[in-house]
Amino acid sequence: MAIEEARNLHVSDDHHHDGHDDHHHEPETFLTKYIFSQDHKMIAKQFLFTGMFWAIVGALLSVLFRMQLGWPDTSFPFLETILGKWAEGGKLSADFYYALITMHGTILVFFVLTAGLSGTFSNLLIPYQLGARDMASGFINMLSYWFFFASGLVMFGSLFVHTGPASGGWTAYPPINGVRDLAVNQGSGLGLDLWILSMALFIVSVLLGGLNYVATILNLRTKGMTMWRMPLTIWAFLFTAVLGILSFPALLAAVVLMQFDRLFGTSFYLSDLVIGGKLIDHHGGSPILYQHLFWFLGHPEVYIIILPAMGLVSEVMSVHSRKPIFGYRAMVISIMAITVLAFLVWAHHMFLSGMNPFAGSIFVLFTLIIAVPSAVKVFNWITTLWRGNLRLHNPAMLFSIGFVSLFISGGLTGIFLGNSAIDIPLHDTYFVVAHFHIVMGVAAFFGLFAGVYHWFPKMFGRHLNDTLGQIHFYGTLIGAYAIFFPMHFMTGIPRRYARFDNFEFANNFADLNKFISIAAIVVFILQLMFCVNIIYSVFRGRKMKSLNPYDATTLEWTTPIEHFHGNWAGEIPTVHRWPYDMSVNGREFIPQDEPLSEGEVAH
Amino acid sequence: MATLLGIIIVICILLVVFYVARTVELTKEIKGELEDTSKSSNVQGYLMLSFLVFFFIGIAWSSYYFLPRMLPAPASLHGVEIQKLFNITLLFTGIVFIFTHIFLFWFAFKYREQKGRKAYFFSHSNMLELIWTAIPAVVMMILVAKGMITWLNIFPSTKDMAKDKLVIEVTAQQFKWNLRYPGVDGNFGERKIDQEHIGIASKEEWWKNEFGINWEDPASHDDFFSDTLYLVKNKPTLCKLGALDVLHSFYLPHFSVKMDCVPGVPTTFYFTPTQTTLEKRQELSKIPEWQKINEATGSPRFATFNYELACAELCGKSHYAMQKYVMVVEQAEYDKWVKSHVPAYEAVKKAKEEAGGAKSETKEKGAESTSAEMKDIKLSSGFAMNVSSTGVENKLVSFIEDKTKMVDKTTWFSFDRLLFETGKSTLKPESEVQLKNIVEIMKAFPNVEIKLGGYTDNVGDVAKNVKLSADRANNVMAELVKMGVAASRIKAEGFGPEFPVASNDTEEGRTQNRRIDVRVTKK
Repeated sequence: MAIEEARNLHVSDDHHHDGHDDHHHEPETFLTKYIFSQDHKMIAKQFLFTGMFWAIVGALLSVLFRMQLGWPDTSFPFLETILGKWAEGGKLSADFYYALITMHGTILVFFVLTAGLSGTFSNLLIPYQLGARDMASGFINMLSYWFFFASGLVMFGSLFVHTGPASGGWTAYPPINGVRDLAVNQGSGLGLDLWILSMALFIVSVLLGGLNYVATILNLRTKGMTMWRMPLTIWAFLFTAVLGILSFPALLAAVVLMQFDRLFGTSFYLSDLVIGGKLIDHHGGSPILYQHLFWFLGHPEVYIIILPAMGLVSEVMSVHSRKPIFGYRAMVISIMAITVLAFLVWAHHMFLSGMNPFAGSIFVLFTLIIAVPSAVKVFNWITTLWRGNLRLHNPAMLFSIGFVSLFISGGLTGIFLGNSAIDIPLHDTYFVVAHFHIVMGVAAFFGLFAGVYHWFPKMFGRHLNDTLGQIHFYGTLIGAYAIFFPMHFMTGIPRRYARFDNFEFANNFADLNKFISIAAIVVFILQLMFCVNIIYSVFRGRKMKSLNPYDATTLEWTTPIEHFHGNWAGEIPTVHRWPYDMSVNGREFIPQDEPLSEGEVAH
Repeated sequence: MATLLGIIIVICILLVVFYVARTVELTKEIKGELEDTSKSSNVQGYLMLSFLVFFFIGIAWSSYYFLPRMLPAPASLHGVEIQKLFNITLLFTGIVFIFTHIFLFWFAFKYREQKGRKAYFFSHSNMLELIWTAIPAVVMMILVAKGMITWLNIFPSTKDMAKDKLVIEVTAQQFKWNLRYPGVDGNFGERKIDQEHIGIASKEEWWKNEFGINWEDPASHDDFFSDTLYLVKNKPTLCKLGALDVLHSFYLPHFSVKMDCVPGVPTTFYFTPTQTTLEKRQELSKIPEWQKINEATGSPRFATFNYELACAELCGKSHYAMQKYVMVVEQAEYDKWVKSHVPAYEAVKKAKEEAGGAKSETKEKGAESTSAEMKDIKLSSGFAMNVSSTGVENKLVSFIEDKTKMVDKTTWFSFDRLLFETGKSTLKPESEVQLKNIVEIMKAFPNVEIKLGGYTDNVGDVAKNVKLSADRANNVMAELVKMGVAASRIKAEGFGPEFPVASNDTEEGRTQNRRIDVRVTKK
């Protein structure tokens, strides 16, 4: 029915060719315009700002635990002031340390890089770039945001629970999380109950959003916008949504079954547990089952994070190189291949979980195959730069290039980890921390930044400060490498250790840990500067003067600067060509809605 | 205050940066450079190139600096194979890393925006794309093939394992490792995971234990537990892994061994150590990094090198402290070591005899847990004592040595061999052995401070009981001071009938409640 509604919107165009005011179909109040908005652009902004809030919270948590790792014996009295019993004497308690890393992971992976990244740009760009007036269902889209908001409220609340937030790792493996016993783990009480509730709400949000994105992309493309004429951003969002729809339900099942174990005495994941010297009454379950369910989401999740970043980077890089993206079809096929393979590699997180080693070897095969489409994408990006006219002054372009560098650095270490034999010494060590932070943490953030710098004028009608953006770029690139590159040398040092001095073999990197912590704090401050840039520029930034400041070809740049529900004042545009006609036929660029000239063959 | 100052300084710096950036932007707008962005792009092009150079120098320097600080070469057969595979992968990925980065940043520099430059419309090339799909595919297949062979060799089927292998049963729990050796017969006593076998041993249920070891199985009678993981050089070793409570991961960093310990799912790791601890020390003594003096011990780092066992799976708040030492020795030394161990069954046997033989439904209520084994405790001073594993000496030493245990106000241990004259605070002479042990412990751990608590049963006047308990605690303290412990390290307090440890309704319970406890207040 929602699609029907949106269709009607399109049909109405045929009747109002002159219509300059037909977009004002109902009076807007503050509440419907800014809070319970059904306009995709406003929802995108809501996702952006909520994501920003969570990014600051998540990063702040990492600053706290980096202080513990960098200066394990120093007392920081202000920590006791703000954290109370969790930092008695100015030192983080071990319980709270593990709560911090757990919440850091959960917040960054789900709230920032899933909702904040995909939520912002899928909402902003899908209707814009397809030439649609809005999502298939504005109402469901609004619900998607508010479920995310509610999920965030619950998670935020859990930070203040007396027994602390969840502290058994963002993966929430049982039995440490599967037994609701504070003696086993402080965070596995109310903190984890709230974590599970929050995740459930979050999954509802992802599913509502994802179904809407897919429905919109498949049904609401404007006339002439064939699938093969969609910008790569849309391809990326489409497959991101497909991944989310197919994998998030597995996580919901996993955590709900775990809650059954915790509350109702079932034994999905528990067996043969001896706690406090007594055999507890759960038999026949398997903790490994949970890991299968979790990683059936968990692995696609990393592509849910990185695919939108790839799409954004492809688009930004092409526009600012003044060239088509190299190998458009290969890029799309790579995205498809990654999507399919994403579902076949989950157990490479579990080589040493007690799973049958033979099964492990099959997952090695699929895991390393993923390197092929990834490599194709990298080579295509580099070739896109070749003989371009690169507008490097724009921070969006800088961040796209930085993204490629990070994706290479982090991706290559995945070839080590994906090979089960090499994974034996590397698993659960700092090598892994370095790998995934570079490839799906920092790289995804670079995609996000590229997107924000590029589409900020479209969102707010004003430009960000480029100079601050350039400082932000170099500071973050150097800082991020300073944090994560040296971690490769901490191969063999277990991750998730609150301190290292109980082991001779692990206690050799005290200086490095200090260095990393300092770098982390500097990078954190730089991100605050970026947030200030955003907030300042929303109100006081340089005004956008032309509709299409980058000479881009895609449809979002044909909409007026002023936002209103419906996007185009008159008719929606008709598309005649692919989105990458740049530096062709002696023209700087040819917009997608420009008809083919005589004798011109569509690309 | 310093923090506040720091925050203010950071904010000031940010403000300055912010205003400079705003001014730069405004100047550009006035000069009209916003229309012509090539000047700015030019600067960025050079910065991109500088980053590349800076990045490569940084990588080269950090490799030079950190490589000698990394873990030493693996000391196991399969570890060497893994190392080879790692190096091959490093070679391939290293080449890709260097070349892609050179191209990426070189292009960024070379094709930076310039006035009058026209971008070249180059939308695809089937040939190029085919080449760079095929090459990675071939390389990946090589790595997959090599990887699979290495991997499957590390996990042979049981029939392919050596007949003459060392089998060790490792059971992890929060937050320690239990290492069970099969004893002289080479067989483990069976474990039964049921309510009948698992539990805390008591006088009437003497056979119970956390692991569910069935003491009726004769194979269990020579099994023993060890505090150090002993391995034999060049002897294939099968570690049977399990966990009692949550996931742990059995991690031997120096041997490339890692495998989860999963409650309810048995796992194994099969490997062969190739260097004894002494040989490894010798090897390391040739490396400059290991010749450095360790400030904590005053000797070169290689001299105190030890293999270690760690937990690699997040298992709770003391995850980072699940440490054990690993010793690799020659077979002869191992055999000697095995013989020096008292089987765990010895202590159980004693309890069994006290309980009057076979598993029985003796309804007798009373003292907890006498199924203790006798244990040799050797202090760093060289003083050795043979005491019960449930006695105060063992509890105290374990608590002090266990880095995961924090000093708190609730961890009290009861003296088990202090005797007083009835109704008086005078110690009987039999008490001297235990007091002597405590003195030795206090000498061996000079940082430790303790508090003594005196307690009574609830019979009689409370005030009198409090006084009696205080007198007794003070007497014990005086005795310890007399035997050479500084008075500043001990405190004593009488609590009277407060904090009973057993019911005051039975004579046994009351006996247990009349006691002296000790708590570590500093370590």
